[in-house]
Amino acid sequence: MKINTIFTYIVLSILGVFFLIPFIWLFVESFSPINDIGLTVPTFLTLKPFYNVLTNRVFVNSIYEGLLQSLGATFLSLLFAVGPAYIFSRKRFKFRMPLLLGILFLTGFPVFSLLIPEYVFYIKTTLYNSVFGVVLFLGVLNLPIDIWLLKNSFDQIPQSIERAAFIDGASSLKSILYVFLPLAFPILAVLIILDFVINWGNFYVPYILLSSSHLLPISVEIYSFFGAFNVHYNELAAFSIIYTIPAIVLYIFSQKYMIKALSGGIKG
Amino acid sequence: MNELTRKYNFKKNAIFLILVPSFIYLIIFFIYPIILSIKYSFTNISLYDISHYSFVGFHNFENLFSSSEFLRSVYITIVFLVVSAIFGQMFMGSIIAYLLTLTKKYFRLVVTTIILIAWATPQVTAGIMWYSTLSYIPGGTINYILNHIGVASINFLSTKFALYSIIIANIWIGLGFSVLIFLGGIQGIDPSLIKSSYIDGASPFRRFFSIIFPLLKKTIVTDLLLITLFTFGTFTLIYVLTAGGPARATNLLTIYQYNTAFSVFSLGPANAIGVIIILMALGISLIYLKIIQVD
Amino acid sequence: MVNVELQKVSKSYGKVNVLKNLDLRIEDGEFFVLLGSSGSGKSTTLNILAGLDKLDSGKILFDNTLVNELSPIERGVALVFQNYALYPHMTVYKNMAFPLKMLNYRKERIGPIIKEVAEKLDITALLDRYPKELSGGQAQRVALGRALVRDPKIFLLDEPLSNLDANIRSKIRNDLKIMQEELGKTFVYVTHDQMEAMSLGDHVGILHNGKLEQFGKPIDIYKHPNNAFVATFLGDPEINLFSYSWNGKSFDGDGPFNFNININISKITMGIRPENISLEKKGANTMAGKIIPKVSELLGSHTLIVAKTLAGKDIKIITDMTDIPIGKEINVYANIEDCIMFDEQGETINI
Repeated sequence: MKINTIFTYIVLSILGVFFLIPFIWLFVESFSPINDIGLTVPTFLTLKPFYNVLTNRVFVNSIYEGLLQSLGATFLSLLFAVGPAYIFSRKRFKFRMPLLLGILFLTGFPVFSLLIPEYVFYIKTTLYNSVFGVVLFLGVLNLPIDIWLLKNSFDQIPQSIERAAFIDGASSLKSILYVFLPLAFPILAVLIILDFVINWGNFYVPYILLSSSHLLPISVEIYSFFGAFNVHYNELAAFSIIYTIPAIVLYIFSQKYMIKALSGGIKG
Repeated sequence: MNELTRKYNFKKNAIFLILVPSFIYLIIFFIYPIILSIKYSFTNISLYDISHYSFVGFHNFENLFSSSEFLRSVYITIVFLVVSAIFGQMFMGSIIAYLLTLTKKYFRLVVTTIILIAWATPQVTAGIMWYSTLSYIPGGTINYILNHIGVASINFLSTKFALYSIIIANIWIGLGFSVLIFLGGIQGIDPSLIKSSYIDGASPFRRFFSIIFPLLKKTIVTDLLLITLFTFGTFTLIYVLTAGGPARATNLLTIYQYNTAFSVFSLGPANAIGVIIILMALGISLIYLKIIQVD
Repeated sequence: MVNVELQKVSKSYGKVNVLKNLDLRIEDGEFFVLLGSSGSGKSTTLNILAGLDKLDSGKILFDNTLVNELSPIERGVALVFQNYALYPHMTVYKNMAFPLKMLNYRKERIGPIIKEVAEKLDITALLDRYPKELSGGQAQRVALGRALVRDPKIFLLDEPLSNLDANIRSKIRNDLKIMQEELGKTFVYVTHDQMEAMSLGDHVGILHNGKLEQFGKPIDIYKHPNNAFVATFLGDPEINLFSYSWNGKSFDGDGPFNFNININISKITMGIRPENISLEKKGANTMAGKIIPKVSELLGSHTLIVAKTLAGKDIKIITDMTDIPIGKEINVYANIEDCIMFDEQGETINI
């Protein structure tokens, strides 16, 4: 028993250390005066890489584009998720099950494979190389999972509350607005964070659907920077940290609620 | 049905109209590309001229299945899936989650947070971080450590090791999700069941395999389905880390599809690869759904 | 103020017929109690009255107007839910204001109405609280308040006392009765608890398997049940039932008494309520017999005796006496007029 316990702590400690290893370079390099893709322990630390990144207009603009596109797509996903989530949770109709399975299928859909037809479609419709086009596509990608998770949350609201609203004279639309959405607020907050972080982290959608450099969001800008000739690796590391920290902070803050939302899993 | 009834029914059913905008949105931007993908897979459409193309039947598919490069890509993808998703994330994830429940609260919090930080890291950053960490010349963090304990540098991103490297990197980024789901699942098990196994004198090892694992069957299937599909769709991490190389050693289907479209400009075959990816994902989903239904 | 009528109302869910040709008439301003066990169709009846469920066939009339297709608001009904169904994210004030907000009342108009209703229900001090900060009794009042603000014509109450602690239940029950009298509104109250039905109802309807078994004043139903089901349903402890058959001279069975009545059926069930059996012979007692007490429970002002008849059947008796000799045969007396006779189908035989 004792040995088992010690073994458990040792295994998990090793795992924890292993998981931190990839971050070592990122942090060391971002405060380092030397450019190095490998690991060199610097003789002194500097904030210069961060300063250079935050005063570079291209980088700052890419942060702005990243925020704009991520938030815009998050807004679209949630806006369009509410209606179906309510209907699937509260109404029983003929094609409910097939439609639900359809939504489930889209939730797990290998979306990357759609980028190429979407690209052709966008070029033909002039949505190519527009922020609006990127926002629309990012938004639709999160729509199925948002419908699922919001539906699961609506399922938790007791039927008597819904009936009380009906008795009190609320139409379906009003009860969504005044009863369902406020009661689902915790899950809405989780979905906002989840969607935002997914969109913020998405690289291939803007990478394929945008071409003008002033429209590129931070994810693509960092990649371009990484692939450029004569890279300032310390600035790349600093820029990556600026890019990564919001995602991590938001995830850690919402993890408790996220477990709840996600382990609700897949129910009819 | 009289006038009043009709009015009542309309008022009651009007709420279904709320589905219309959402469904239109889904159809135009999600369903339509699926249809386009299928359509283009039977054509010779090229990136040079997307307006003129002709139908070529199953030509693209026939070419793919007789191409050793494509078959190798399928093989790499399957190895990547099985080792990274099923063994690495699902199996190890469940064991790690269980071990975590045996430890003290603050230790558990620290380790869980570290694993989750990896999961929350955007894939572009993760790709760059792993590229540096595995770097051969100049030596990255791992070779730095190896050198300090007297081991010669290893080229982790060489043809020989690259596939293992991307598998490790992908487990690193994906494990958090698995651990999160399993922690939720284990904590949801009725504690009296676990207590009674203590009284019955079961070892922790036995407890895991004979009590916790079977009880979590549904969690496991859900988790496995999502992880397999996520892993199947992996693009960014590998694209940044190896771009499918060296010598196509890490050429996953997604990367193969991307290069076919944007390096070779052959949109027809690229869409055929897309259709194959979709069918494979569908097949995986159906197998899992079947498992759920059997219960 | 309104009277309510159900005509041949039927409702089924899938293959289950919950209500079968139900006829019911509820008078203007009365406290009507619909009594039934779970699955009897009482909640369905309430939902149909409220407009939450549609009926398959039949008519619902409010003041002789067909309301089948009208919404709850158009019908002017309010429903108090079993678990109160207060909106957890709104304060008491907002909960009560919600129905008015849905009618597009302006804020200045809502305030005075809430104030008035809150005073009437003595919940003014609770207006800023959230539902989770309320006790069961308080939540109940708020639920009533939310129903009251719209000034509905009919109040529907779905087992409103079942979620309350036993010790405050009777107080709230009295409050409800007083409130109904003050408001003078029609109350339709659904419960499975016969005590509530007896103490609250001006009229009681007993529902069983989707059919109305009996309808009337509580005391009339108690004294003159239509059948053995109703007789058993009302009364706590419940009525004693014994099987009797004609032996050529008198009716003989597993009960304590033999008796003689003029009837042309040979097998009957005799029912007698526990309080109608006494341990001492009083003036006009016409029947005598013996029992063996097994247990006696003191219930405050009186005692409940659980005993066996000489034929070995359980019998319950309520008496004022306290010293009960356990395990010894004692004499019991009753009047044949207090007995209720049922035929083999359980229907009451009129003698």
